[in-house]
Amino acid sequence: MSVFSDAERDDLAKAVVVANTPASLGGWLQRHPGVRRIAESATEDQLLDELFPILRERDKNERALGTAYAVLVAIAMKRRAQGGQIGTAPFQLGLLKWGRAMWDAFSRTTVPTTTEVLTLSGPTPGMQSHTDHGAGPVRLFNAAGNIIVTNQD
Amino acid sequence: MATVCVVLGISKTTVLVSRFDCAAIAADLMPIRLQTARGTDIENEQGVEISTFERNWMATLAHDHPQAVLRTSESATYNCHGMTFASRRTQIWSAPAVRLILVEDSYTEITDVHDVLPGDVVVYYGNDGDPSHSGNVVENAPPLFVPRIVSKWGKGPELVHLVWDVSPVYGTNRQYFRCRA
Repeated sequence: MSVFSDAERDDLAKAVVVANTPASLGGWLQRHPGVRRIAESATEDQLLDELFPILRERDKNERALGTAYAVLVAIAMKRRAQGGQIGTAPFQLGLLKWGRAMWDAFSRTTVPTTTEVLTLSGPTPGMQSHTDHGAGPVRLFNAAGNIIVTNQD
Repeated sequence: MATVCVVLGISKTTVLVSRFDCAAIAADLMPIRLQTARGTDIENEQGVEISTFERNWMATLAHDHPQAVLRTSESATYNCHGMTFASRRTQIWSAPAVRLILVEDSYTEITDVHDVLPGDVVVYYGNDGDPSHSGNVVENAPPLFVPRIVSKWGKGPELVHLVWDVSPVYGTNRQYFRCRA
């Protein structure tokens, strides 16, 4: 049983027919509610179970292609949501005409981030501000009384 | 004790590579010699097949886009970018190739829609900035200045349509260009 409904598979097939570039197809698939749903709810193994029978077909019709590209995009979205790079595709991208171009487009637009927590020993730095009689620059001092910021206005 | 979080962002750039990994796919496709005005080769391919599904989809176009006029029948030989930039001889589906043509064929952007004239080119862009669709302006009349376009939708027919009346796959961002070569 497919992860997509019949109506969704028709919708995906029409997009394959009308798309002029891999990027436009990939961009549209990212916004498709069915693709977003399976990217959130299905595991990558479930998505691959959907994809592999299609890849084995020599002559893929539009409904099969639409589903295959949708699964490809869902896998990339899933990996991106888990953070970091989307990495290597879990199947031979050349089996889909636009597979490599779409995967590479995802790689380009994925901005991996790393978070590092630095723990400082010692007391937390304190801070206070001064103005001279309500006029003049505002100055920020650290706990030792040294000026660390002066507002020139 | 103070805790500081630092987030480091690193963007990755990957170059598009050829997609002809599968001999079974490549067997149905035929590239032709196509170059920009400066002589740079443009990746392209001529398609040969229109499927039953595609024919059925095309039959729904008139219903789904009642204001559009079908100008031709379907063709797998060329797509929208092939119509706009390659004289209907082949398909151009590579986004970098379209960007290259715009530069090397000396297209300049027309920023004010009031200045757009018949013969100018419209390029639709996806949210990621890739050119998803293109066509030729055939009319841009006052007072509304909503350009009328001839464009080809995938392997489907050429349609004469208002600039906004296109498949949602193409997105809503667009720019107009004029060749000044």
